Amino acid sequence: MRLLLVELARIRARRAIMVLVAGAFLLGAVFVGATLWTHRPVSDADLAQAQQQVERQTNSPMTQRELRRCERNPERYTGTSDAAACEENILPRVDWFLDRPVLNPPELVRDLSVALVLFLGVIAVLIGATMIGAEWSAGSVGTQLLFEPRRPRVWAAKAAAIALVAAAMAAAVFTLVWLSILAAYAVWSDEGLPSGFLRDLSLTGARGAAFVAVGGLAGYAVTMAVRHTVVVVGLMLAYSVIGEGLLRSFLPSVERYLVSNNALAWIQDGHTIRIYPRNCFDEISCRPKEIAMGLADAAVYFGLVAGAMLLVSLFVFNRRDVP
Amino acid sequence: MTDLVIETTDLRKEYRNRRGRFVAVKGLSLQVPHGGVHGFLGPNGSGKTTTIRMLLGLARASGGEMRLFGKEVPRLLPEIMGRIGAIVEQPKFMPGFTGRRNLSLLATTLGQDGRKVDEVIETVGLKGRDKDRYRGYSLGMKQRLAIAGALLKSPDLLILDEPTNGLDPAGIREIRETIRTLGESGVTVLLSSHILAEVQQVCDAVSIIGHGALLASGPVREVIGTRASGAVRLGLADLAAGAAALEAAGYDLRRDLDHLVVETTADPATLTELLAGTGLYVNELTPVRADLETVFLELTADDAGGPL
Repeated sequence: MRLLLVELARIRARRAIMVLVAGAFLLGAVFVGATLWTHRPVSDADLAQAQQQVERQTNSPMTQRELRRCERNPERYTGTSDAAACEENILPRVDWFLDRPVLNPPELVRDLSVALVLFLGVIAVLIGATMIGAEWSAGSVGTQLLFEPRRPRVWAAKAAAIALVAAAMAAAVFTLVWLSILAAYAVWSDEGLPSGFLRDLSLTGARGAAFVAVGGLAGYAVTMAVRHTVVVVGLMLAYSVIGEGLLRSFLPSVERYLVSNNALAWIQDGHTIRIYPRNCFDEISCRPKEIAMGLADAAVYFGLVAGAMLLVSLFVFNRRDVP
Repeated sequence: MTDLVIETTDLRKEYRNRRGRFVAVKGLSLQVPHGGVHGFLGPNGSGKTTTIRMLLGLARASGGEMRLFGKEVPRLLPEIMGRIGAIVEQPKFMPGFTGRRNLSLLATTLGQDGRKVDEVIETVGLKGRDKDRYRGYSLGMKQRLAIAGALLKSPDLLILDEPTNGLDPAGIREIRETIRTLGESGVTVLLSSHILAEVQQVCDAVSIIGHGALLASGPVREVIGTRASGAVRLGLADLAAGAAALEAAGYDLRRDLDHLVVETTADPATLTELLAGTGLYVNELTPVRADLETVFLELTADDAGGPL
């Protein structure tokens, strides 16, 4: 417990980590801002602007010409012989210029949460990597071992601290994002939320926090083994930018083992992978092959991957000489 | 119960790399008794730091045995680490933290409060600069912080690897006095230093290693005594005539600037009598005393690393 407190104090004092945590909150603010801006209700000014556009377009020569053509031959334009229907079909309406989605939290949960958690996961990997990478770089790990020579304890304290910080960060950002969205929804909408929504949202948040904690642990485990932050950042970029793309292209059968698919299955409580055939000739043969992945599949996947990483990291730290 | 604070038996450390195998420590058997300051000398690459790192659990031994306070290490190191303060090579702390924060984190690891931190900061003379970031410290201040860290434990054994590196003359003197005081107070100090005069001044005993093996060990006076030459330095008005007379009498000698150095085990009076008999009168006669540097250079003459 004492070592854990030391590691938490160490993390709190690291400026780079605090910048990353602040970045996570900023990211949350960007998500909230973008979501609320996209779903903002129609204001009087928006309505007035839309009406101006309607008038402008209604009075435009092209619209008037079309209207006259319709009135001459309504059947061609409206499918009826009623010329009065032309105005309805040809002239612009206000709602054409107010094409804005309505804020609907249950519809947003899936996409918004996935994007948010994946970004937070990347930040957590960087936190885990930079925390221990800086210690290797400064050589302070050796100094610490002169005060606590039980390496597994030191390793475990650092791992626990990173997991706690990453999970707490994710939970806080997720909560703030959703509180903001729900507050806006309460102001903008008279409708209540469907039953079970808050439960689903809470479970998504909990799974997100766990995912982000595993991200932090993965960054820590690899950096602890290779002793360089840059290597971990390079591996992460290489895998996410090139690795998955190459695997998808050449080995479609490994789809279910890709991090992204398992991440989606974990965060969304299930995910269906669709693999389209390379060559097909009719509707049936062109149908994608569907692989359903459940929460348990993703849990086993991340448990095994993270467990293996952590075990290797602990073994290497326990065995190798410390400079 | 043993009186030995540090004991290694046939200690061995090998490194393997792409170019092959390199033996850094080759069957080192070292004994450091309780109390006093024990010098640990050897040329660069002789295995001093590797030995210290193995004793402290930072490096894994390839063979042999190690004991600290009679306890087998590294297996039982956690039981005794609280009694050992150490500085290994350069001080290594988090550069973005203040000196005080670096010490506080270590003190918390030990379950100590801030008072001990204040005390050691005062002891090493860092008060007033303890809230500056470590990266802004001079090498001397970093060294002082490392010593403060080592003193946090109130150690029974202090292992210091080049503790005066980067210190100014006043700082070197202070640290030397601190080491001396600690040695006299019952703390066992293992001092690895490349300043041989310092080791001779501060240490009660010394171990000299070369090529990863022990070359000499014992009280400083004894180690120097084993290599005492018995030579005398002569001052004469006419060195050439004096040299001719002594060579004719069968003495081995060499010219040392405006003196003659005569290797002899005979009574110096015999020399003065011989020279006076030829009308040459000695104006200076001093025994040539071996010092630690001479002994060290003699012992490690064929060490690949050369002198420190």
